[in-house]
Amino acid sequence: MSKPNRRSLDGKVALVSAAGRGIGRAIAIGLAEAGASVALNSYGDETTESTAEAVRAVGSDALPLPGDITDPDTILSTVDRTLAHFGRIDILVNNVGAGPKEMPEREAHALGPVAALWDALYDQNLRAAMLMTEAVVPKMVEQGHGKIVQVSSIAGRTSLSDRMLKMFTHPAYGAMKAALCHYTTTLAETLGPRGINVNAVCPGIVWTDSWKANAEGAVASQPQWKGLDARAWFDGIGRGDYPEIFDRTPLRRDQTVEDVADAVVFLASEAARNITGQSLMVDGGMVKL
Amino acid sequence: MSPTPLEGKVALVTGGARGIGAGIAEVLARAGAQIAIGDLIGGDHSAYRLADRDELDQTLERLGRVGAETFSTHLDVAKGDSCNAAVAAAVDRFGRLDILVNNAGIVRSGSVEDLDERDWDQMFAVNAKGLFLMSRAALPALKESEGAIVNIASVAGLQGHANMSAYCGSKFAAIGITQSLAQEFARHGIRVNAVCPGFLATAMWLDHLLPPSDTDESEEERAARFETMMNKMVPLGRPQTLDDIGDAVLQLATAPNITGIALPVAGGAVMR
Repeated sequence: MSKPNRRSLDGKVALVSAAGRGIGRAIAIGLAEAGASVALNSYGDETTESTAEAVRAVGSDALPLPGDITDPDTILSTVDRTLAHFGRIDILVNNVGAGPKEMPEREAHALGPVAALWDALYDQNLRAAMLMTEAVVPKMVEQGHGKIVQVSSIAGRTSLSDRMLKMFTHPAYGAMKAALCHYTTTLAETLGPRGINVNAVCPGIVWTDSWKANAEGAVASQPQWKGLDARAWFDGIGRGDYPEIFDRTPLRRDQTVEDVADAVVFLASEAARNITGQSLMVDGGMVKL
Repeated sequence: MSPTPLEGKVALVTGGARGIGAGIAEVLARAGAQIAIGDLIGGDHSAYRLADRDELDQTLERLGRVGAETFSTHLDVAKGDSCNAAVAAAVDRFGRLDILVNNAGIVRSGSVEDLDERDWDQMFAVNAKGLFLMSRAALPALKESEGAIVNIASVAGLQGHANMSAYCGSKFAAIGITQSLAQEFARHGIRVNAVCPGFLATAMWLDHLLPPSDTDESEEERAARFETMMNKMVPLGRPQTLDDIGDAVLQLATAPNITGIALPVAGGAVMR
């Protein structure tokens, strides 16, 4: 029938940060498959170019913009170059976020180390997404439309086990992701009247470079898993084989980068035109809200 | 996603003769599904106008024009036997069932002093127990297809409102049932989610949820009053449409790793 496909992103321009690998790469490709042109950033030249190639391979226009997206100058130049090339930004996906790449200098007091860790996780998870949003919103307001999707985490919506926190993540990571979900609601409230939708997705357990490193660490350091293949060990996390680390996921499997990308594409499309301020769990049912 | 991700799949939509249910059925039909509609056509429901035969026929005709095979059956979701019979008839007709959309719902508002006890019971029977009975009836077929259930709850299932204790209570129940079934059915590979519609200019809103006016008002005035109230409550400042709800149902019905969530489609009226 002649009704338009509301999931199509034909003619749209998307900007995706941290799109070199894993979830960000899948999001860039998913947006491209739905028809969007994609400006994409990642830290390294090679990873950025590799995703750009994948975007072009599905027939979309790609603009690779490598650089450290936690740096305000890079944020501003990334937005400027996207606008110079495409003339507008319809979709912003803030996928930036991770454990600290480098630690800020410690202050010379007993709380110095813990303060440095929180500062680093703030810089890479909340501050970078917030500054990018601040840089893009004026243009979206001028356009009278826009879709912003923040990539948060289950860590921002629930507590995690002591073992999980000791081995793989840090309370500050969850706190920053929780703040990102809250920032999503306040942005949605203020930008709704300007025609801008703001939502978050919260991925669960996804086989990315971070989880690969976690898995390699687990099989190398824990006697009960010695000799196990890292990927095989990781499959056990989704299945719920190690309840002392992670609560059982009802669907008993890990989530994929494509699952997350599909949720982002949905939220970025007209199919979700009346959804705003939500944090969409993509976690196999782990978090109960 | 392909434009027809539901090719070869069968969806059963309760309360699908008109309104949101018919809108959902149409979106699923466009996505390639065959559609079974269960509805309480022409039954006697005190003080609540049910969908009639004409409305059902119009919906079936519209679904046919989209290219869907259709089937309809009498269904009272508040009665276990009726649920079993409707599911059996749909499976008999199409050979399988992949998606159950529990959309049937009724609403009455009224202060605690005014609301009739029968109205309370009826709302819980349809809006809450109906989910349980339909899900139980559909479970064997959904196990086979590793299918999905989407419950149509409401933003009233996330926030309470004055004069809405029964309706809100029944919709909170719907979300609790959704979470419970999501965990219970996960081992069968069945996903269970809820969509929470906000403000649509359907009979439910215009006739029942909009606070009464002091003056006699025309239909247009009433619609305008709905628009004004909705504008105040919704950051995006526009009513939601049947397609909005249908697209959210389609998304949740096809997302392999989302279960147990309640997704508001309400222009930001509720955020979570």
